[in-house]
Amino acid sequence: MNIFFICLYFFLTGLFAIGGGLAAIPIMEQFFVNKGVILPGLFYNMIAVSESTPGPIGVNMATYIGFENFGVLGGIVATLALTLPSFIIILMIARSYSAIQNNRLVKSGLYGIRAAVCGLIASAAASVLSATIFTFDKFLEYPSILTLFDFRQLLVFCVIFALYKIFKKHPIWYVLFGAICGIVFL
Amino acid sequence: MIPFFEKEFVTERGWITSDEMLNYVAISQSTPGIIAVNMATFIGYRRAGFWGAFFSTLAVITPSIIIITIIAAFISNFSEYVYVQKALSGINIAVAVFLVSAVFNISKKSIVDMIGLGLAFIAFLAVTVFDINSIWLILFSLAVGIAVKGGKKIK
Repeated sequence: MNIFFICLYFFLTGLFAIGGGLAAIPIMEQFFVNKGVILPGLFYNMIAVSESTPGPIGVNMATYIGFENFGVLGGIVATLALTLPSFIIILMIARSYSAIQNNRLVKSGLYGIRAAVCGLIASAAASVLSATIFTFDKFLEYPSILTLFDFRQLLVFCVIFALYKIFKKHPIWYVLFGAICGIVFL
Repeated sequence: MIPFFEKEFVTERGWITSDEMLNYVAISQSTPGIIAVNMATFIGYRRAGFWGAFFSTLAVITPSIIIITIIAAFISNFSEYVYVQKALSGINIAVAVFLVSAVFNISKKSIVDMIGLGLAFIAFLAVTVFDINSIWLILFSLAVGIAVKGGKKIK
């Protein structure tokens, strides 16, 4: 993939990611992971880094994917390409924003988009689950409940999930905990 | 990031009122793009016009570019070590936790009725099973939203 397409895909991501950085993740996954530009494992590592560092997650992801493909300059242009649609759109509406905010078409369109974005994020969640705790290859060979999961990964997942729900701390703590579990346990 | 904006620009500097702030948050959430970037462009524009918007937008993405570039370079240099790989696969389980709980949190706010649930389900299947590009689903759900609610008043 050349740098022009990287920029084009980030521009489209910026244009269609409605509802924040998490909405950008399934779009980026389709553009870059499904097209084979970024390996799935690396993509999930990028999400972890982007969640645990300061700055908006979508912007962090763009820098990371751009850097991974075309070095420092790639990171910069990918991030700018992601940001450009926001910049243009906000400049266009900044004068008359109250008219847009109460517009019936905008509100009804958002009602649909917000719901669909939940489904899109669920598909990103499903792909990271199938890359971690599920072992579908084994399951297809020997279909049984024992071959459906990687039980050590499932256990780590349940522990992190419980801790995340109970303590609600910054993501970096769970990323560090996951790293430790990975080193001693996986 | 929004609480940080509020503290810096409303409470400490008095650049914008808290009513304006609420409007900017609502607009930034409902326009395309990353919310914090939209907010920065907006606040910059209201304070100092085009160049205000231009430099605020550049400023809000610069820390990400610097920090992520350093971390990415670090990780790609160490990724062949076994322990680093083990740590990264543990980290990916934490990412699974974030995304699964994000689905629950966001759906509570975003899915308000059966049509919404249907749209979410269609989007999930279309992407997971048929690998249809999410952009088409966003346009589709925009059209459905307008068709269903466009003629009615929404609170």
